Amino acid sequence: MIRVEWIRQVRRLRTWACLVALAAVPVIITVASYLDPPRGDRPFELNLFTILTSSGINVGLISLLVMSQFFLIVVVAAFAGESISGEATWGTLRYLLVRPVSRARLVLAKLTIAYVLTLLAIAFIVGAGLVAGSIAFGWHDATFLRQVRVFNAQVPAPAVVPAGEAVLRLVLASGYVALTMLAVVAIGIFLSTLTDSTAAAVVGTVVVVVASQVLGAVPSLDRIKPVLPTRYWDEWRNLFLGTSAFDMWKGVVSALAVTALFTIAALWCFQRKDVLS
Amino acid sequence: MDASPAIAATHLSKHFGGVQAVRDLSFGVEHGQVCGLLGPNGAGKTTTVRMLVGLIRPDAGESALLGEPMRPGHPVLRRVGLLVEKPSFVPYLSGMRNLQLHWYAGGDEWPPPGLDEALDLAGLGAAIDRKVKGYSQGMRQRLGLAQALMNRPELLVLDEPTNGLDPAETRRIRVALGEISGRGTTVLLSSHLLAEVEQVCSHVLVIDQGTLVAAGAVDELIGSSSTADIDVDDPGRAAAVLRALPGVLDVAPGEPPGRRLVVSLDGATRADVVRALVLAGIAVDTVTARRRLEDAYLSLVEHPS
Repeated sequence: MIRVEWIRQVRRLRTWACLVALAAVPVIITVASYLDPPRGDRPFELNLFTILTSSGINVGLISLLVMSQFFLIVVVAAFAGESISGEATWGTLRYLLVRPVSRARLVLAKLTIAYVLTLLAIAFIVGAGLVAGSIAFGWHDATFLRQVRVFNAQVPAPAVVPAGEAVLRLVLASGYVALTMLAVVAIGIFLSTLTDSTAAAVVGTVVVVVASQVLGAVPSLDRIKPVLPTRYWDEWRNLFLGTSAFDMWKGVVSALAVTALFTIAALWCFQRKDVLS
Repeated sequence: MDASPAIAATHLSKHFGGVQAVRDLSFGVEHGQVCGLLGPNGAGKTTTVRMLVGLIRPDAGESALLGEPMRPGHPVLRRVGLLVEKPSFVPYLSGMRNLQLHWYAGGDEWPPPGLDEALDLAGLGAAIDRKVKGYSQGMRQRLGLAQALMNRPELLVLDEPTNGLDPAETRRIRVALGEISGRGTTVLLSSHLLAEVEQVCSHVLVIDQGTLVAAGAVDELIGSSSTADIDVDDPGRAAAVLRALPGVLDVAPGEPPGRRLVVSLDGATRADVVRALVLAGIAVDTVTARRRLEDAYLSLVEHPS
């Protein structure tokens, strides 16, 4: 079943169009930064964008940072939300389900391939950033940030990090983002089992994630923040800001819990679904 | 041969919202039968077929295929060929790639045992390697039939298999169904085309408003005698000649009146009738077998408005 789903996805133009579009953004960022480098030589203006041109590795980092905010989520929602509802839209779901294959196996195969495509998407983003950035700004030690105390305040300052360690941190960050996206895949698959409309499943997935992000930004909702799926999504940035990345473990637990919850819900719903499409 | 029926439905019921689609439906289709499933639109035919193959969960009752109690994804589906409503395929893949993926989904190694004969029947030629999105409705229908037949099924369930086919293609499918049933394959054929069902099927099930209203052999349903419509130049004299002919049960005026007679035969053949009329000097314009299943069917499902 995994082989079937893999062939269906890799032979689809849309899959490659999404991956190329994801890879194009880091290239555009690189070209724009090369032509008009970001400025910020005073400490309070210092952020990860202002040190973008220091190394190709920094471009890889910025690519991950920019894309994981929204664009990557939309693409992952498309991969996952379309997986079962798309079959229903085409009318092919009933023919898959009259083969001797359990519905649970079908859902898990769809989830697996949607996640493999998600990993590919992240690799395309970071890879495109690293390649384009290295061509434009060279492959050498990266510059990240560290926190220094100025009077009673913590302010960021540049910190040169050896290329090997910088890449390691970038791989760790990519893995963390990949784990958070696993939760998006599970949400998308779940919604995909509920509807025969691809648009509804994809938009619904994006709405769930954006709603969680919006609720997480409301100060008066502090009590519910720990259960929001996106609560710890940005913790990986601390790897590059010189601040504590200790809460990343909470993000790992949260992502795995959300994934388990929505995967079980998807299996339960799909087992009971009447296939009318 | 297995003693249990090829298809067994026991007290199947299903409702959608406030609509009772199927109500306490029980029937059996024996091995080797070619059974037509008839009923008006909305009668519950498709819901019944989907419950039989595990696509829809019945509210009550159960079904069995080839002696195996049915549940979604049951291994018995490996021995069943299905065409459920219109055939559907992944549009950006070729016909052959669609067949391969359908086969791989069951965990089986390519090629399936009946691939060559299924492709012969589909008659798609080089188009089998073209993307399905460029196929006509008829080509999709034939590819759907190939998909249903490529595993050389013991049980074939077809829902409107000649939809979108031209008359030549329809006849080809009909002939093929005859050959398939001749090999002992059990066929359940859901169709609106009563002439097609009458020609192909040995048995019929008639469903109306979710319940079974008739079941049995086609001949039992329509009566043992055969009937013919005969257009002649002198209906009055022709009626007298035919009433005197052995093996003729009844002669009555037909529609449109003036030229047509409806002749019920009980032993005599249509050729006997024509010979008798011609020998009596009566010109015979046309002789056609009456669409008797249609009459029987309409009497079962027509309701006073």
